Amino acid sequence: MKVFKASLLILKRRSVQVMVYLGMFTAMFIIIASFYSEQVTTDFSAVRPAFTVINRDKDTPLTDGLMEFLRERGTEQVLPDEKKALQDAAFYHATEYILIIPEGFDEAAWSGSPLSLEAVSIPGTGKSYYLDNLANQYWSFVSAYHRADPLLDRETVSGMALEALSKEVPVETVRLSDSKPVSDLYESYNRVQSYILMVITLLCVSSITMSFRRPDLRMRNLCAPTTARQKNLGLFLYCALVGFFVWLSTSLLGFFVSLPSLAGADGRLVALLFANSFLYTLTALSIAMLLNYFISNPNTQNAIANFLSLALSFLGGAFVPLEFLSEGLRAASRFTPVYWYSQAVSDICGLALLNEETLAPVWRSFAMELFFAVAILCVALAVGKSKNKAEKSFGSTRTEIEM
Amino acid sequence: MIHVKNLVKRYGKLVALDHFNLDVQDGEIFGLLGPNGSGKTTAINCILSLLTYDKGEISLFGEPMSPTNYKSKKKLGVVPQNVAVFNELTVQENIDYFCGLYAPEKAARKPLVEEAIAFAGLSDFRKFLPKKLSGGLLRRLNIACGIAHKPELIFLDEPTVAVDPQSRNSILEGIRALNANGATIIYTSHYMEEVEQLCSRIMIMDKGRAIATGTREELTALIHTGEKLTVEADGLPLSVLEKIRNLPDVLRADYADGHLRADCKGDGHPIIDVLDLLRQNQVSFGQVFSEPPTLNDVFLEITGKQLRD
Repeated sequence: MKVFKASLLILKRRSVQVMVYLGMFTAMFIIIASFYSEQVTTDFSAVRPAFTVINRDKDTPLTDGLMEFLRERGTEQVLPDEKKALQDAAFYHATEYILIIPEGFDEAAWSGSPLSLEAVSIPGTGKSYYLDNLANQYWSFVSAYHRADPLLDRETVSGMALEALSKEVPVETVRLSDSKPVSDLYESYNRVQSYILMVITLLCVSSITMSFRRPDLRMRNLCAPTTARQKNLGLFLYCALVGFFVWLSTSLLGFFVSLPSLAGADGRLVALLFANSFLYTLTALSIAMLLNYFISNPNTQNAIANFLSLALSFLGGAFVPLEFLSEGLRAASRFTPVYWYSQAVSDICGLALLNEETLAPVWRSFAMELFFAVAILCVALAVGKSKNKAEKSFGSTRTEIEM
Repeated sequence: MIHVKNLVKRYGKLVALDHFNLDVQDGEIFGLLGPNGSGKTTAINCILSLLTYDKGEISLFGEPMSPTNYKSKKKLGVVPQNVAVFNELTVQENIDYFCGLYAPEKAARKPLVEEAIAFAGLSDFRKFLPKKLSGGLLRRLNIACGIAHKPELIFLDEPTVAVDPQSRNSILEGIRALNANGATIIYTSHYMEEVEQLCSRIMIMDKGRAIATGTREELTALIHTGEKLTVEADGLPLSVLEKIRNLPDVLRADYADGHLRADCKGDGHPIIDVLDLLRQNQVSFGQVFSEPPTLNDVFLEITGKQLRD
């Protein structure tokens, strides 16, 4: 237990840098949270934009059909076919969309080589785009029916097109659960938590191993009648305790700061997110165990901890959505534990219903995180063994090389 | 207490210890003396099972020594050459930590730690971090960490390197006190004066071999050089110097910077003859010094080089 207690004392003396990281992270998150407002989803109803059709062709069943179709969805604004009148109407938003059917359009469309419709859209409004889309839909259907059966007359084709366009797909919103999904704020926190978990775990573990691995202190410890198992147990207990507190403190921080936005959310999702960050803490501990063989002074400690945490978090999609990364980086990120952590966060936050099928991707991500933790720990043990073998003769200790 | 037989340790092609033998008895202060690179620390590290070795036998307290011989390790105290303490722990915490590796029970440990702090004269610095201590105090802390658990056998590896004379004397006094309290001490150094003052028996090492072992008197008796004379003399003629050199008890004599230096043969005391010669030849002289042979002379005569070469 001496090793364990000494480790805690050393951490206490070196806690300033850990507190700086945690304090900055906490402050940043609280500021972000204070600007957060919950997104509200409401129903919508279709508007009826004003439109004008200037028909320079003759009235035919096809153009009549188009007019009928547009009148069903918008409000017709009749205007004279005069350039100034049309410009004024467009400028004062008296109409949102002006469609000009050129002379000979009907014949050309029926013969299979249609002329272009001339449309005047009002900039900066989606209504023009909407009406233009409707007009195009109508002519697409007409064209399709005519090509499908050229023997059909104009009236029949127009009627068939109008009938097809009148069909609507009924959409019913079904809520699978009474609870709300996890808020965006809490989801974002969970993504970024991977960075702070990694950097603090690396700093806490390496601060201790750096001291115990000092050749002169290691030599002195080896002279003592304490078994390697007792010493390793002390270090293991320390790592376990530190990992637990880092995980708990960062998880509770995110939870409490996001608490207002989590009202009504499914508690099981929050529990899954806690479990996810816990598994990631195990991976961070394994990485810290591996890196302790390469960290020998505070300068390399900070450089390695920061570089690795930032690089892994960036590559795993903690800061930037993976969709924004190049194909190569996306492929590479699958080989990082952060990718599976972020994946699990996405999967959990997207869950509306919790059952075996919907949870399968979450379990898979959890298994991958655990796999990384175990694999990296095995590598750390192998590196440790080979390093100990290399130092069997204590050749690296300056004091011992006299010859 | 310590028995080492035919110990061979190689670093690649370099032979660090060449059939090294050592026997240390209870209650001794045993000095390992040799220049840097002579194999002193390597020998100690082999004895402590910190180093593997190629050949030989090592036993401590009558038992073969191995990395897992915790029974023997419990009776050992080690003070390494470098100050090996935690920079993040205070003086008291450091001593408590290292003592705790040997004495796990807190109740038993507390008086030991207090005693070690008092012994090392660190009572006023118990809450200090090592970086706040001077070189001498750091060395004392290093020693306190190694002896707090009251070991029967203490290895002190050059504990006075880079220490001011006052702290050095304090450390040497402390070592004598430890010995007086029953601890056997193995003391390595390349400072012959310290070893001469402190150790009851001395081994002189060079190139991984023990070249001479014994008490100071036994070692000086091994060589032909006896006392060394230094005489302040003005303008010593070469002819007189030659006459001095030809005296039967003088091994060699030189004159430089107004000082005549003469090495005498083992039991010879030619001081009267030398001064008579100077007087007869009307050479005026001032102060006369006579020194017994030192361990450096022993080393010089056996190896042909100075201890601090």
